[in-house]
Amino acid sequence: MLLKSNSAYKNYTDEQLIAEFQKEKVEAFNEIVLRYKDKLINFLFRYTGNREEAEDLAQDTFLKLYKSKHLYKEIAKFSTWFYTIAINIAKTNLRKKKNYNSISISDFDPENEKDFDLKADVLSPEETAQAGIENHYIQQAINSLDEKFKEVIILRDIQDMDYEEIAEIMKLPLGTVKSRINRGREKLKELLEEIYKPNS
Amino acid sequence: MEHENEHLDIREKLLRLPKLQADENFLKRLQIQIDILDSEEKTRDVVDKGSVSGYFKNLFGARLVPALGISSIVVVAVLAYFILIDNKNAVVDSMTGNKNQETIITHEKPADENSAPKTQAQDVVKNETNNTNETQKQNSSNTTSIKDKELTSSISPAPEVSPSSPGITTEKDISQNVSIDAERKPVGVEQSGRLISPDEIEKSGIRGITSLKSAKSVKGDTKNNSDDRNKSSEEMTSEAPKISAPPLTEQQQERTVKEGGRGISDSKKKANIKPKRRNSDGAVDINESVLETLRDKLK
Repeated sequence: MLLKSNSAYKNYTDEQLIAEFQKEKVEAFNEIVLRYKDKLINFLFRYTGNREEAEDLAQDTFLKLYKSKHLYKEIAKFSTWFYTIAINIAKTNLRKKKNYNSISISDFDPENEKDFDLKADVLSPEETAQAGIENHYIQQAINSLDEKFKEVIILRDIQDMDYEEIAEIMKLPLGTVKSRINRGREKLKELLEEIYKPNS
Repeated sequence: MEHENEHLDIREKLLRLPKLQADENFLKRLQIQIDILDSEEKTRDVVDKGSVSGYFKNLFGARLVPALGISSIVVVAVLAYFILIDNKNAVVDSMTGNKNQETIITHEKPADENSAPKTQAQDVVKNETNNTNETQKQNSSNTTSIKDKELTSSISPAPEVSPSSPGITTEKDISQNVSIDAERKPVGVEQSGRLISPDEIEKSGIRGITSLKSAKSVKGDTKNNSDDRNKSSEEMTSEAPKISAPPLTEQQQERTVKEGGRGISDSKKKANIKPKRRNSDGAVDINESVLETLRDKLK
């Protein structure tokens, strides 16, 4: 199997693609991978704060989709089901990591930015010069958020998902999702103010 | 709805964050991982299929050979034992079947004295009944003596034969019975068979009932005839081995009579017994003593 785009599936919806893939048509899976790989890696990067780790988790998520394609039923959007898989994998990975490292705001060291370096091919030198620093701090602030706020903030403000979809992915009531998003933003703002203080 | 519109500046900042793109090697790595996954599934299928044969290999593997060998030997031994027992039972059944056949033949041909050997008990009863008939003829009366009745009763029901002297009531036994009868009080007997005391007989004077005197006279007659009876019993005893032991010659019979009618000793009898003899019909003639010896051997 070669992961190449097939023009026949370009006009297919996500649900149609997974239905085709459930009929053992691998080209439909290729189309899903091509559609979701960047979004998934971006989401996982914001969630983990590490690009390599995000790519590994994205690989695991696609492999899980490849193995468990028959578990999808067309009662929900494919993207909802797919992000649920991704979040579960990311949470499991985070729990494993927490056994070795504990990340908290008290451990935050602005000078030690090694783990949050973005690669040169992602951010250009000019971007890094002006917006890069801000982006770094925002990412640090996101990483510092509580997990329950981080998930909904990423899904809503980075992945630009609907409240309903977030509620479905997180298996939470809509009101809970909204309140968590609001409280997450407040916390993020506070964190960014704290981060910006030393620099300012 | 108010919450949604709060902190929009943060939302804008987050939305403006640069979007990461997958590495160029991402698809290649994913391709490799999918290939590995497929190969693992194929090998898993092969292992699952082979696990059944592997189970049987473990079941009948080399480590179980001693146990299987021992258990098979035990099974063969048990089977052989039961087969041998069945064969023994079959031999015994065939022997008993021959005996039954023999008895059937004797019943079918009672007139043929030479060919069909009668059982000793039957012969004794026959002889005894002949004797009683003779005595009845001598007395020329309808009454029958109790002594004779008891004598016949003591002799006739002898279907089961003791192993030492099969079916033969010896002279000793008969004489004992006679002596016991002599001690008993003589009573009269009706024609119906009811016993009547002598007083009743004298009082009633019923005809057809033997009185005490007549009974005594009969007894006396019988005593007078006791010699004859002894002789007849001697003849009976001397005749009995003639029937039960066919190989005896006439000289031997006479010799045994001269010796006091004791007949031939058991050892001599056993020595003279031939195990099997064929009748004129071809049926196997097996003596009872032979059967008994066979039974003892089988036991």
